[in-house]
Amino acid sequence: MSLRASEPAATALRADRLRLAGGWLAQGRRAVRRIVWPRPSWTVLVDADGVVAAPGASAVAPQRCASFGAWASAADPCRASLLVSGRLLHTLHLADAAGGDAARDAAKRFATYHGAAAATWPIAIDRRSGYACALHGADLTAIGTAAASGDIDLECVVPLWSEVLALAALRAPDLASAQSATLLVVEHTLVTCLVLANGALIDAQQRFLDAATPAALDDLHARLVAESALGTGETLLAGWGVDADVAGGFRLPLGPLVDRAERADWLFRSSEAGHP
Amino acid sequence: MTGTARVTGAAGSASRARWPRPDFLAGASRPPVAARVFALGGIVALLAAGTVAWSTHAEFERLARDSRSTTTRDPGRPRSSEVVATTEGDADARRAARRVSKALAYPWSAVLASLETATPAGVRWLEFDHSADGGEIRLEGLAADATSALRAADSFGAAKGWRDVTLVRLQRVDGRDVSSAGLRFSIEARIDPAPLLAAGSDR
Repeated sequence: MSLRASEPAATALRADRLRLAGGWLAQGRRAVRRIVWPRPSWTVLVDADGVVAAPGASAVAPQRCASFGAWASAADPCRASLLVSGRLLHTLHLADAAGGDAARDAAKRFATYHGAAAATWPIAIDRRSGYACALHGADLTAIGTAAASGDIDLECVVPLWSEVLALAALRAPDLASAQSATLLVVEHTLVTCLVLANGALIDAQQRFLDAATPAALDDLHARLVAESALGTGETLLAGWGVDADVAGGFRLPLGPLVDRAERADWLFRSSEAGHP
Repeated sequence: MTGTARVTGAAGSASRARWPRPDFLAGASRPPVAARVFALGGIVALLAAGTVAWSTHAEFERLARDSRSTTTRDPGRPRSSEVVATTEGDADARRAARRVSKALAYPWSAVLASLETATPAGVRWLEFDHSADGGEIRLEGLAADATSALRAADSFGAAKGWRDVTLVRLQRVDGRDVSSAGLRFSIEARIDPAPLLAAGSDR
């Protein structure tokens, strides 16, 4: 009788072990596949309207899909780097991100600013710099599931602003040595202000434009200057969604602003680009 | 333009390392050490299996080549010493089987029945030597007197299937008891099984 009672538990234990072994084997299989047969790399921008994806080493124009799941089910097996729009995440700076409690501290801070719902948001922390991001506008579990079912290897899921900052610094090497500078990452009416000092990010905040126009962008810049929220040095601009070319007073290390993300080629693929 | 720089859609690793890069996958979906060990073990196992398979295939090819060349050299002759041994062994086995089969088919019952029928009173048999291979038969017996021994020789000579019946030895024996005392004699003859079988079927 006692043996019968213990059978379901033993079966569940065996099933768990099989699932664990299966998961490890699948990861091992993927690791072998990566070594033996490297897959093409895609850059995927995840924003509020879906995703924009393009292969890194191809002339194929970036295409928009309704969701990451739709893209993953249609795409061939590949590696994908996901860049998350500022509209889908919040960013803050932790005083001590190196300790073991950094994730708990970040969750507490996000809950303080955004309410109890923040307790369930996935959090990413760059321990070296202390910047933490909370993903509030996308389901990371669903993304992982869709990637697995579509045989997509996720390389990273990082904020768009971190990628734009790295690209801008690559195009404008003096950014890393400037005593003070500001990079404005524009996504339509959302602007992420990244303040740099001596090659380090010292502040990151989000502001909204009244309209996606150059005039609204100028107004925002003027307000930020008045608030002393920007660096004292040069202001650089990168992104899309503002209707007209913006040149006055701003440096454009990644080229003129374009009307939508699908046209921001510099974000999606390898290119030979000159810098002035 | 004063210069060019190669820029990738995902910025260079050196540039990434310099600037903050919070990654939601950090520590979550990276393959664990066990997966990497599995991967390495899998590669090693694949290489080992491939090596073994290749060597086995090469050995098989070599044997097949040897076999073909031997056959081509002299198709009528055995291909190797093992094959010769096997063929000779088979021939011996076949000969032995034929002997056993022939011995089993020999009409032993007819021969023994004829022996019993033709044996006169006063004669006891001590030895019976006959083979299915040849027709010769040799009998050793003990008779009470010379007349009984001669009568036995005459009886076999008159029986069907018995030919060339000869009383070859007649010797007085002094036994320690009455039962072993008398004349010891030997009869040699040839037996033709066919008349014995015909006589048996007539009965």
